Amino acid sequence: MHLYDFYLGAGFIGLLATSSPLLGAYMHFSFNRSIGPAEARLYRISQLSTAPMSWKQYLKALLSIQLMSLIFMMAIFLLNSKAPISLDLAFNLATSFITNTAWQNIPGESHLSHFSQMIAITTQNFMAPAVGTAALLALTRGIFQTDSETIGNFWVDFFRMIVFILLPLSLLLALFLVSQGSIQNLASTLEISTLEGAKQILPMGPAASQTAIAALGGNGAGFFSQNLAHPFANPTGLTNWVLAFSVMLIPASLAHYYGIQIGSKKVGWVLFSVMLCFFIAFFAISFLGTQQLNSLEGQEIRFGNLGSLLIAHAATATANGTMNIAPESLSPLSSAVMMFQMMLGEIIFGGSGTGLYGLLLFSMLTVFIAGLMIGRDPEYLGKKIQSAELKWILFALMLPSCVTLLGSAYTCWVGSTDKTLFEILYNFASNVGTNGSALSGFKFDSSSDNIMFGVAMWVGRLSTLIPVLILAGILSSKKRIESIFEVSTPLFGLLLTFVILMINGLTFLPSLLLGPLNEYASLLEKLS
Amino acid sequence: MGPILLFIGIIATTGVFYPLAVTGISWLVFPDQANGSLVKKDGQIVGSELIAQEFKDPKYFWARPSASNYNAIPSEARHLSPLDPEFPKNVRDTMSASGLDPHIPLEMAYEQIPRIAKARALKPEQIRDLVDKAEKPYINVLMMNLELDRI
Repeated sequence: MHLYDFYLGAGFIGLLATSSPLLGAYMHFSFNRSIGPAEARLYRISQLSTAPMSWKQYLKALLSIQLMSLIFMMAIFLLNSKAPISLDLAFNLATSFITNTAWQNIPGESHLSHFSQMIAITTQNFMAPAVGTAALLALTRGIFQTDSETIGNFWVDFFRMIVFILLPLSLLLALFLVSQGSIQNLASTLEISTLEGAKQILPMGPAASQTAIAALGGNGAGFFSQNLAHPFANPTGLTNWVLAFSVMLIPASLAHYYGIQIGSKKVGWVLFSVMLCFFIAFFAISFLGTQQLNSLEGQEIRFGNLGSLLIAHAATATANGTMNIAPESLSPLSSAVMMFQMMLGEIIFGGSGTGLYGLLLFSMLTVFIAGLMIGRDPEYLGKKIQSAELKWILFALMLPSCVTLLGSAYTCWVGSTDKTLFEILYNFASNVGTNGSALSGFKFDSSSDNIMFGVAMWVGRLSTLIPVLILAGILSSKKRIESIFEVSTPLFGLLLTFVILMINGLTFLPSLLLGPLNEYASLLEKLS
Repeated sequence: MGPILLFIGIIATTGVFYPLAVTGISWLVFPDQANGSLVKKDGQIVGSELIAQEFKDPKYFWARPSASNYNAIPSEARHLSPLDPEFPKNVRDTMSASGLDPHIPLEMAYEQIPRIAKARALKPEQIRDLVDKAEKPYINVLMMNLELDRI
């Protein structure tokens, strides 16, 4: 490890720790301000009420956006693509963007028109994170409101996330990317004659605008097949660093938004610190793996070893899933850590909104377990955690893990694949965790795969999103009792860390041993 | 009806206005970068500074091998596991993730200097000076080859 690498890493953490509270404060301002005249006119034109909604109304509004997106995207893919796309592939693709997975099943530069990329994919890159964030805002209201039947207005939350947060940040990032060499034009392709006189066809198109929101919003889909490894998307070491930062920025800021919103910045800092500690620890293990292997296979020279790993890690810790390397060429130790980050349920920063609500579910589980240990009624910030709440918490935390493990087992069982157990596990964890990172360029080639993984993504997304809204409704209607569980202390952070490790360790340890760690042992043998 | 109008409005803003605004501003402020950082020699476009191209002539620096054979549509990686017997030991045999990596590390550049010097009837030191002038741990193959042609 060079000193240069150390500065790069320390600067990354330092900038994240200083800028995320600021953006969190801006988010708090944006989500709580009263509706101005221009905004009010927009809602009036669209004939939408801005009155607070019950959880059922909120869920209905949220699902209506999901459904419209599904129909719209499938129609665009079927009607406007450069290569034929079947119905099941269109379903899989549309699902993957709507659930914020962005599993890339086809190479964008050869299959999708610029029109599809802009109208279908770029728009969904904005909407999917706004839906996740809206659900987090609802849960936050459930926690800080008392005796209320409502959890906020979905349309206002959704609109504000897109227009006040995502749009200005994307605009800035996109222009920065272009200044460094990322392409942004409306040409289709450009044929040139190389220095030795051979023919080369260069891809063209609006890449920077899509790359920017894919990084910030967490969809992570590349304009190009090789995503952020492509020099036209991620041209320099500097853009690589900034993109890694952008991937983490919004999920990290939401932790601080949450702290400010519930009236205790310290709670936000504890959650942020837990996520950051996980991130640093996992990154260190993974970096050790790359130092052992010491190879440039599947990596771009301009990013350097640390830079290559930075996006790979930022993208699997968050639910982003973008990729700047060929992850299967990493040491199995590194890719195992990346997979474990996805298996944790995408809570180490996680997706926009989805990451933090996952961590809040774990926080409630932690006070429940702590309550059992000391023999007191468990409550989270003065809201009692009773059997109905616990049922939904466990449902949301356990169902995705079950789908990952049972789905992998089923795929091995039918034996219709030449992939290793590690590859199957990784790809299931990625789909169910709505991450979208792929190992071994795992492409589905049958319609049954398209449908199975499409359903896995929907289950992964909705099996936490719906319980979160139900919980928001239940908690919102509760009275606040005097709180004895301190959730703003480092001790709580430690307890939370253990609960996360315990629950997921018990769930996934056997499969980790059989899959990636087994491969890692073989690699050590080969290297020695 | 209401949700549909909002949906259409968001699509117009994020799918039309936003990419076109970025395109417009880029076209005004960063026209070279936005169009692919194209490189010219004697008025002819000979490639993009950012995209690797194939070199076979001994008088040029060669890039790393490419999984897509330097074909940019679509970009492709080799997807090779480190457990695979073909996993390369030497940098010069590795492939990048995009298949289009325009750079090579210095050690790979130094390796090629004797061959280039011989083909061009130059002193190896002359080429080495050229490589070292960049003061980076890697060189851009196309740009360095253009400089070689200028000697």
